[in-house]
Amino acid sequence: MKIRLWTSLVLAVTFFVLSVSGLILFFLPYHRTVDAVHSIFGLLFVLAVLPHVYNNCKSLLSYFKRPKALFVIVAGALVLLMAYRDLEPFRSLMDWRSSVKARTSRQVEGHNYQLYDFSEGEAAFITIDFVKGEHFWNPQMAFWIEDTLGNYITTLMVTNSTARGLFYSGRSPDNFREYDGVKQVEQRDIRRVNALPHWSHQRGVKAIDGSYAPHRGAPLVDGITGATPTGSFLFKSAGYEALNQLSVFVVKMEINVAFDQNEFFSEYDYLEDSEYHGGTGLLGQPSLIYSARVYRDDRSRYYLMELLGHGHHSGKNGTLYHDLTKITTAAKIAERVVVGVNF
Amino acid sequence: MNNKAFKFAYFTLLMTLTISQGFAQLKTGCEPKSCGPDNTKVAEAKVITELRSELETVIMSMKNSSIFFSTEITSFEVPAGSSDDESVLFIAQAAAVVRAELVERLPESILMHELRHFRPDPASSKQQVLKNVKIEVSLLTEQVSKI
Repeated sequence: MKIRLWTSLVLAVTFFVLSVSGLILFFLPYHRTVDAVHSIFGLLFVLAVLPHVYNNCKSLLSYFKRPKALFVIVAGALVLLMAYRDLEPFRSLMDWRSSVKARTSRQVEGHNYQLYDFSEGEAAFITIDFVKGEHFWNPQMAFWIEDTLGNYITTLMVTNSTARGLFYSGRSPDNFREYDGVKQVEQRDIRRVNALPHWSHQRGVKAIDGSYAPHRGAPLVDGITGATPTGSFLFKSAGYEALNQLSVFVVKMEINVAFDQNEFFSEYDYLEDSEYHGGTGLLGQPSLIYSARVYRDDRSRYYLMELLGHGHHSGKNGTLYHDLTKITTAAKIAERVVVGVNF
Repeated sequence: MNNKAFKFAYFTLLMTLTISQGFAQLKTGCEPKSCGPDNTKVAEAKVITELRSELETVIMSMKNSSIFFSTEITSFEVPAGSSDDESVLFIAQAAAVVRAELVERLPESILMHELRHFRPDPASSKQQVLKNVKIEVSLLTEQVSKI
């Protein structure tokens, strides 16, 4: 009797929380906390259902023996199939939900959600929806396309400092916040080659100083460069002929924040590495590389980028290191990155 | 719809709207000057922890050896500083004291020449200080393996 009482109470409470969090997830922009609440209470609900089914086993079995059970099973399967195949009326419902969410998103984050629109009316372009994470701070970043064999095709976007191969000198672990606030542009520019080593090596254009990071003498062209983002943003790429010729391709992102030292990438590590410690380096955790494999004709058209690994800590090579055990807060620079295709 | 069902539906709707508003006001990430790459390093650098552990192993070996060493040295525990810089300083000082004790107590036959004549390079940066300490602790480890 006690189990029945506890089960009913737990089911009632979890049902209530699930209903509320479900409605929030349905109508409002994604939020990790709501997602966590919904997922955990979903698990609790499933656990509480088990004793409930056990307590009512006989009744349930008898219900399933009635003709109406077949109707419910068939109807349920039909709804599942229609939802899975994105058929009407569920498609319209989801479209309506998306438009409501988009409007709400603009209302909530309109003042700090940046837009990089390079599409200029092109019919075929890629969108990247970037939501900043807990440890986001003026990152250097690049988005580019590779084929499925890992061959570089084209850069979609790269932040200005990396594109010009220049960084303002004078920033340090102690002053970077104030410094970023006032941007002392009169100070001497410095070259930094360790920001996005994987992208620069994949791109494969050697600068006159022997590194692969773009040099001020040969900066990247306008149209793919953008200001360093200060928050979440939506990016629309320019149109590329190559996109029309590939049925499957890979969109990659490399991102790096300066001065994010941790226990493994501190000022006492890599003592022999002068790039890491001074001159062009802004020591901290290395760049992180994300990717999403995009199928041109896939109807879902949205792909969550996954963390693949990290770049070299001082940019000496373009290797993608898959061991992420020494990466801590850098994994929270991005909350989520979603790639979409518009063809 | 009976009265109870209506109340339940009304309560659910009210709670949904209230909580929705609360979550809507939350922002992902944090504001400039209150976060960013701060608090990214929450513990001592692993390289320093490992160095301290290595030095403590040297001290333990001295304690267990048949040669008499000052109990002040053999019972010494290298403390962790309040910062990495302070920790490195403590390790450097402890390593110097241990080296002096070994040089004084060990017979000529087993005392390593490199240890007797060890002089740290002039250090102009924190990294060079750590590099010197690493070399010194490495020599100490090699020395105690011979006693």
